[in-house]
Amino acid sequence: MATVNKITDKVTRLSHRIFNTTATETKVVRDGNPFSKSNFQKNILMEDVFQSSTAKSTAGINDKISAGTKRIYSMFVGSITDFGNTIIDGIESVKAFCSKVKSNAVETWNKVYKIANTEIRFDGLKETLQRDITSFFPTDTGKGIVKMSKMDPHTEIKPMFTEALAALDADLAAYAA
Amino acid sequence: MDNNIKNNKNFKKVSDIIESLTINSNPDSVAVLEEIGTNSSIDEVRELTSKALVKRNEPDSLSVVIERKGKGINDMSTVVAMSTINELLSLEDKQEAMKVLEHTISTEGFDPEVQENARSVKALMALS
Repeated sequence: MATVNKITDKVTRLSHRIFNTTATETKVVRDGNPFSKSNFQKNILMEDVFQSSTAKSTAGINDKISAGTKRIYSMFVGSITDFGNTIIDGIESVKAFCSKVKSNAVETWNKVYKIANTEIRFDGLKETLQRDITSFFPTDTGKGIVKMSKMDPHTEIKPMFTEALAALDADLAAYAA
Repeated sequence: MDNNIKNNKNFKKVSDIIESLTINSNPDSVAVLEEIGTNSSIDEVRELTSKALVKRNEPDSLSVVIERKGKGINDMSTVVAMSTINELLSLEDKQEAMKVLEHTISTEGFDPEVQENARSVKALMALS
């Protein structure tokens, strides 16, 4: 009889544990309407406001900054949609600007080509630039001429002139022979 | 031949000397050009010398190429004579050259051929 009572008692306790769910449930505290904390509109949907009170109670130092910061980040992320549009608009305007510059450059090139009526090559341009740049600096020959122009014609230049002419005569005689 | 002589080192030296005498402020330069340059046996040297004398645009230098027989516009070489005339026509200030030409034409004692050449050049310069 005692054995039957023990078994009955165990079954009763077991059934109590199985069917009485409130006995082991931890009380969950809600803060009410989670949307009431925020007054911003569409961006609220991106914030993770559904946190349990348990998580709040065990929050570390990293989680303490999350409440306000998350809302800021949420607002920022929400605004990216519009920001993206701005970027796209900017890219489109840059594309338009580049196309305009390109078309202007092509038009100018065509005009120059038409006026010159010759093939335009960078080789020629390079030669022109080199010639113009070098013309700014006196050459060795130019320096020599300037130096000679300050010498006395009779005592200094005349002997040089005679000597150079004699050498030239000799060269021409050698060519003829 | 022309290319050979213009690429010659000594011709370049002669050319530089003549150019230096063109810009030399010393009036003795004209005498050196006349004595050495205009008496050279090489046509190219005489041509350069005559041009240099015209470029100086002084009474003394112009008289050499206009009044002297066998020099400047009176040179036996047509190339030298024509180059000198061309240089005279290219002068910006022709006043001094016209005076010398007038003097050559109007003064007795000059060779008739020299006077005839001066007359022709004067006519050309008047037209230019």
